[in-house]
Amino acid sequence: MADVLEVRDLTIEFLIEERYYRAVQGVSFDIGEGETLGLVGESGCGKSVTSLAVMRLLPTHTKVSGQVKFRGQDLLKVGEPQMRQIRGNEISMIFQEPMTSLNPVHRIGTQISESLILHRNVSAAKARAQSIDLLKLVGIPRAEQIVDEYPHQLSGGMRQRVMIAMAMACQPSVLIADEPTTALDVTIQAQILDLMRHLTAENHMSTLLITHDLGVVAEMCDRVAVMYAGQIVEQGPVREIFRHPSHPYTVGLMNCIPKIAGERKRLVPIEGNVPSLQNMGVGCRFAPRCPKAMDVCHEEPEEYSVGTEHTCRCWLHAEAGVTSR
Amino acid sequence: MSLSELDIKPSQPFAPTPMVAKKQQLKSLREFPMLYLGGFIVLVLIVVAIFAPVLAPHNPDAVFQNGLNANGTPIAPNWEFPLGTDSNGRDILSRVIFGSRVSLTVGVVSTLINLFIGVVVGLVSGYFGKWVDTVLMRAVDTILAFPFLLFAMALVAVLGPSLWNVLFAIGILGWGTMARVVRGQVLSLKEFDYVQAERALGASHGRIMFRIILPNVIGPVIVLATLNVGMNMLTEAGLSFLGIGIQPPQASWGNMIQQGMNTYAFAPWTLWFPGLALVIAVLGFNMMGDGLRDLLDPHNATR
Repeated sequence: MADVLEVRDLTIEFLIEERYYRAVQGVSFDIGEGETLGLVGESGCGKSVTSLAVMRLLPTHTKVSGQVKFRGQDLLKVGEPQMRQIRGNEISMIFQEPMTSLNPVHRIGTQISESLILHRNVSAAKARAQSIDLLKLVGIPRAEQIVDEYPHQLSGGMRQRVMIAMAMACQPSVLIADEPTTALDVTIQAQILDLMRHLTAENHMSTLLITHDLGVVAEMCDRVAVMYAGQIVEQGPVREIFRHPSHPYTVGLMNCIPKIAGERKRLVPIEGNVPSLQNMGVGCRFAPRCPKAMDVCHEEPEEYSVGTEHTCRCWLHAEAGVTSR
Repeated sequence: MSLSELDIKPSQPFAPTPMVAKKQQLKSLREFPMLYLGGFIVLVLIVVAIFAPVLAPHNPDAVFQNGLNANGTPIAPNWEFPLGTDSNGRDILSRVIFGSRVSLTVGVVSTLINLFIGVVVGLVSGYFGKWVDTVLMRAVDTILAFPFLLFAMALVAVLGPSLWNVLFAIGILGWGTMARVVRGQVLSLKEFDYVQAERALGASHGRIMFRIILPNVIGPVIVLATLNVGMNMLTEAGLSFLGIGIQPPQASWGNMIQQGMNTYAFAPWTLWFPGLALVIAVLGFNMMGDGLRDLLDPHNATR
């Protein structure tokens, strides 16, 4: 399986009060054709920033280094006009907040047509017809009427479907979904996830799914990357990670999920908070909160292999040897 | 993390009230008497200006043989000259009617120039920020630091007094407030998720500014533009009053008031009627602007 998107050593620094702080450090991952990678982590760990860096949508006062290769082409090096051709056409994005991600002054049809007009150079009438087809594709009833309605006339779930239709319009090869279901009701969440899985499978799209919900990951993803404080701490196939979580942070995350079957126990939260950008310590970033912290944790751990395609950035697994990535 | 958290400025949690909601509110327009009255006055003004040749009883520039009393003073209002005559023996009603054309043309066209410059400067300034914003806003500060009327006088004095020069001078000088208002709106609007979403679709800066952001600032812009028309009409009258605006014999409310000053003591109607026309017209635009502001204000939830 050829990798559609290869991210290597992505480092993102923000300018805060005349100093650069690393929000994301040395993040590497691959997404193969038709594959879904889940990027999991707490709020503020750098998931969204990573996805925006891939789209090159970060504000100008940020410094991004590393490589983001889309079909072999480094997106961090292409010019802005060329990048515009890629956005929405080759790589598209679904945002977290369907309530605010649609422009209140334009009709639904106009907004879906947008990327068709930008990238496919189609006429307004044809774009409208295609918009209706897209609305039907994402399961919106009365598509012929909805196409002429305004965002405030639709519910959150419907709007997220519209966002998906917009993202799908040009049949991109990579879809980045930034917490697509976080703002939705649980019942609607399942429908939206189902729709996304269905559409990406049908179009052989690669997906980068950003979420903090391990349930969503289990349902949707082929592989998972767990992020903590700007680093990927564990990465591997979804079954591997759920069966043998190796990093103490991943274990902690798993302990936070209530289980329906079995004995009812108190959930175990992870004590403490994510360190802020300004006072990120040296060594393992999770060490201050880690129940298994050792002396060696004051030094930076590397990525160690703990199974088939399964890596973990923790000293506990140091004996397994550094991965050959 | 929502996208808007990425930038330093806090984004506002509310979405702007969409214009469509306004369409549905049109039913409740009767609860805005100011808007109605102002709109009515403006409408009458427009009709009068368009049909001036039909409505005016006389040629506005004609000097009537019977237009002056035996002692050379203006004639008081009567059946032939409903609003009396001026010191040259011309019909004041006809001149007031034709004067509306000048006021309306200057008021509206100069406002359009204000609008164009102000909106473009405000959009570019707010959207790009940084040094672009600094440069453009300092330019706005500079233009607003000058006394508007004096600046306009100086410009017209250089260009020479004529309708088009007055209009141009007011248009080119009066866009400062408009630019500031638009910039302020853009600053908050550009942080909205849908702007980011549009960028993610591959849209260019120009497209985002004019197609995505501009329609969202149109509400306050319309209000300001309406109030601006009244302001610009006043400025035109001021310039004409000082003799550097519309030149006689062409009728303008400003130069009619100026002429009326000389005969005010014994023929007060020469001053009253053009003055009254000016007051009503400006009031009409101001009321309409205030009414629109109330209508478009989402906080005005008394309905």
